[in-house]
Amino acid sequence: MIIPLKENSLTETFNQLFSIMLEKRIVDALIVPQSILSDRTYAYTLVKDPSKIKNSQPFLPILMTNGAKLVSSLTIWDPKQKLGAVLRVCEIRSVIELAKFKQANLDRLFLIGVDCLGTMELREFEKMSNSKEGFKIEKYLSDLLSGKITNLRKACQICTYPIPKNVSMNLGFIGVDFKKEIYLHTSDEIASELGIGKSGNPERREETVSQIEATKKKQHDQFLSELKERFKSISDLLNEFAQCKRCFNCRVECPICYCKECIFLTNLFEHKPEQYLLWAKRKGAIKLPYDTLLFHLTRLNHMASSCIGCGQCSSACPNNLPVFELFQFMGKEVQKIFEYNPGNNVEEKPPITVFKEEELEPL
Amino acid sequence: MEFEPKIIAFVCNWCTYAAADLAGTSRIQYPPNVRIIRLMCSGAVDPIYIMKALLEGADGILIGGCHPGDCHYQNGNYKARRRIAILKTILRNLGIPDERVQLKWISASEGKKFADTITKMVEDLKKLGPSPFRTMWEI
Repeated sequence: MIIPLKENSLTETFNQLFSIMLEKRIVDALIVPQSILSDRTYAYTLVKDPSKIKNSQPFLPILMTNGAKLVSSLTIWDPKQKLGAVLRVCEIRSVIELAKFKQANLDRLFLIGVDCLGTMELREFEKMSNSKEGFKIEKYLSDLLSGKITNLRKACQICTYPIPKNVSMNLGFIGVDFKKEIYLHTSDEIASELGIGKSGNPERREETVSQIEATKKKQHDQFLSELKERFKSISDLLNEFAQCKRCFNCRVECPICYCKECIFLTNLFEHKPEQYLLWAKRKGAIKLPYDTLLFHLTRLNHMASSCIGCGQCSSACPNNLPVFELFQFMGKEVQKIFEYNPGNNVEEKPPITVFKEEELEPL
Repeated sequence: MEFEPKIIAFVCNWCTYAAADLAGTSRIQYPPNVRIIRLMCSGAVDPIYIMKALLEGADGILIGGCHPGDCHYQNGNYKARRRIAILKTILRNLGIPDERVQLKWISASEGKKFADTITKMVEDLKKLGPSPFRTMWEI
């Protein structure tokens, strides 16, 4: 259906929509990105009182964190309330993947997915907000659609999923005249309960979406073939990852790395001085901190099969290492052998949790 | 002096370890290039052990388990097979030859097969030469 803008403002329109959803108890609580304190500071908020929805911004150009982790912490035990969550496609895919690992529960979850053509790094967003023109969501969206935004995160540049799947509600701007209206897709029952907007589909939406998907697919394939050249050998990997300082930020931000007790945080990697000196003696020298490559290779083995490619690992890296690039490339290679598309369908079991009696051999 | 490869073998308690034992008690000769680590199941071999051994300079890794369908824990070896498939996909893409990591099913009665596997692996690894990680200190 189509919802005409309230007071010519996307934010006001969304504020109204989310308030109605809370008032009519379509959801009992809502996770939604809002500006807090000032219009430059954004965060996810968990809202119970509709009056606290003041500056909702579902089409925000940044991803403060992968919201799937927030959803996981709110649903891993039964929240006993219907929980709404306004999320991007990569976050929804992560939620689906986490649900398969029993780290999130979809039963009381009302997923609200937004159209997404990409996000930028926080520092880039700050530059934009601090510029003379400032940040205006309407202008940003039209620039995004016309391809004028060139500083998107790498993961977003090659993402082939502009519109969400597996959601109870889709909020859209692609192929929509968003200076006048927004697109909302949901069940008829909920649409009538909302009582705003009019039924109908934007004429150009389907066509625009498939155009974008085709362009992105091309960029994605091109990028993957570049990566194949880039990570050909262990030396290549070393060259790219030599500056890793083992802060584990990539692991912390990764929605798939959900282990409460990661092996790399155990005392298995606290060695006595003699041990380091022995290693150094054997090869003449070692690089410190030690075991950085082992960390990335192990993490690859553990979760590449479920990597949904949100790119938060790279965004979290203080040394700007191509973590996303490595995981995207290896992830796709690993997923290929199991014909697995993570985050796509909750019924599809992750490759490392199942097996067939006859498969894969000879290895 | 001829290059002598060093093999780390992760073997399961119920089949491949018993096979190694049988090879010994039957006095079957095989090259002394293997260091055996016994685990309860091939499904208990986390890829981190294999990666660590490789990065520290092991020339070859053998993972030995019960034949499909014979796992003492019903399906540990099937899970191991998937993990090794993932591991080998990653290694292959990084240009590490398939011979360096091998998964073999060797039952408790197959002492001969265990000896033959090691013999063949040593031959292959000799042809391949020492692992580059033996001297690569920058990892």
